[in-house]
Amino acid sequence: MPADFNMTAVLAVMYTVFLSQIYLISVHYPRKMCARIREVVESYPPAEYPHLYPGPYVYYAESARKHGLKIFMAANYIIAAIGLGILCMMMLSGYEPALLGGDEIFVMFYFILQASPLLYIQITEWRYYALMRESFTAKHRSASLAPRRMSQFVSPALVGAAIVFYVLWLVFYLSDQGPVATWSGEVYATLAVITGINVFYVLYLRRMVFGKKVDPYRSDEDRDRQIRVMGKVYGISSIGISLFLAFTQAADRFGFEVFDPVLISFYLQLCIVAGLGFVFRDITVNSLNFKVYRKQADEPS
Amino acid sequence: MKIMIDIDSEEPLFSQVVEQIKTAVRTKAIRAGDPLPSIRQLANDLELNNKTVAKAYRLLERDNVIVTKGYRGTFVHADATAHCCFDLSAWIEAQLAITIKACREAGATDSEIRIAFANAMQP
Repeated sequence: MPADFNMTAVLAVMYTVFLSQIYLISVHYPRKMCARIREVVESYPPAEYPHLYPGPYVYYAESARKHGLKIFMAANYIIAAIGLGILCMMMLSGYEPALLGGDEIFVMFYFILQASPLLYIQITEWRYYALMRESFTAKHRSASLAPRRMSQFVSPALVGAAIVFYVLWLVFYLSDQGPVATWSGEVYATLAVITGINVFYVLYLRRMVFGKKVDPYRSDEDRDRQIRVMGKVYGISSIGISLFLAFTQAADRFGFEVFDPVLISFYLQLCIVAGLGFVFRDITVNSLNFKVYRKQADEPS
Repeated sequence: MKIMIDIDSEEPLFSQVVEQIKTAVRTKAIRAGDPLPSIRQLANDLELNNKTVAKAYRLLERDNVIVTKGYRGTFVHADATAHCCFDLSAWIEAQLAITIKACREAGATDSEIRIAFANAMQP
């Protein structure tokens, strides 16, 4: 049974969280991303750092320096305007969230729309690194004789916390599902997806630690630092998933499903803050070694 | 400690890896009991095939420079420094030189020696 809530307070929380989602994902982080790309292009131009701009990226860099990422920013501003428009319509139409939940699906759809420009940047990044590897012609290759361990990159305390939260969620979730024989396909699907996400994090981190370098020029120190940041992001993300699922489960159990859209919006914002926020904060442009992208002495001209 | 290979060198890549690790042992950059990277890690870092590094590790293990302890990983052998100083290639050349000299003194021609060597090398 849904609990009795003051709808004005629920709406106030909801609008505040959605405004925050619109601003963070469609304005704040895209702006930071643009500023970062511009800083790299202006401080490390293609003429002096040719390896940083494989193939057509020389022209893209020049365009970004002159005009900024106009299309990318325009797409984000349009999406933000759509979000504000939806909020205005909700206010004007006297919208009230469903007491039994279900409106969170619209938050998810809007988030997918918001994330699409960022996803596009991510996809082009894979192509960028593929071009970089194709053009990698260094004759001398070096490697450390020190073995790497996962624990060097991911804090064991964070991993322990992620496992504890996962187990707690599992117990909480399954305690509500009754005997194993009565479990529906949805229960198995939830278990498979959440376990799969955690396994994916572990395998992807292993690949980062022991696999081939994504960027063949990047210095070992920068690479290690990036893996550490990603380890932290994945650890926090894993805890975030467990907490989010536990909260939504609690919402169903204790009758505050009306907050489901707020919970999911808050969780998605946390994902972006943990993902992009940590990368921007811990890996500043000035802290990276860009000398590796200069033309080396033993390279053919 | 870092090793560096030259992919344009005439020296085979596995041989460069072997020599670099032996040099690291001789110069005490790595010491007895020190862990070494896994084959996969070293191959990926050097952008080499896993088989190339596996071959280098096999030769180092044969020469008692490194020792593999199952899933725990690969370590520098306790007597690695002593074993690094032994040049197996030089020893083989010296042994063959003695044998060839004895064959020539017995009147064998170079052609006969080559045929005999090829036959002896047959598995």
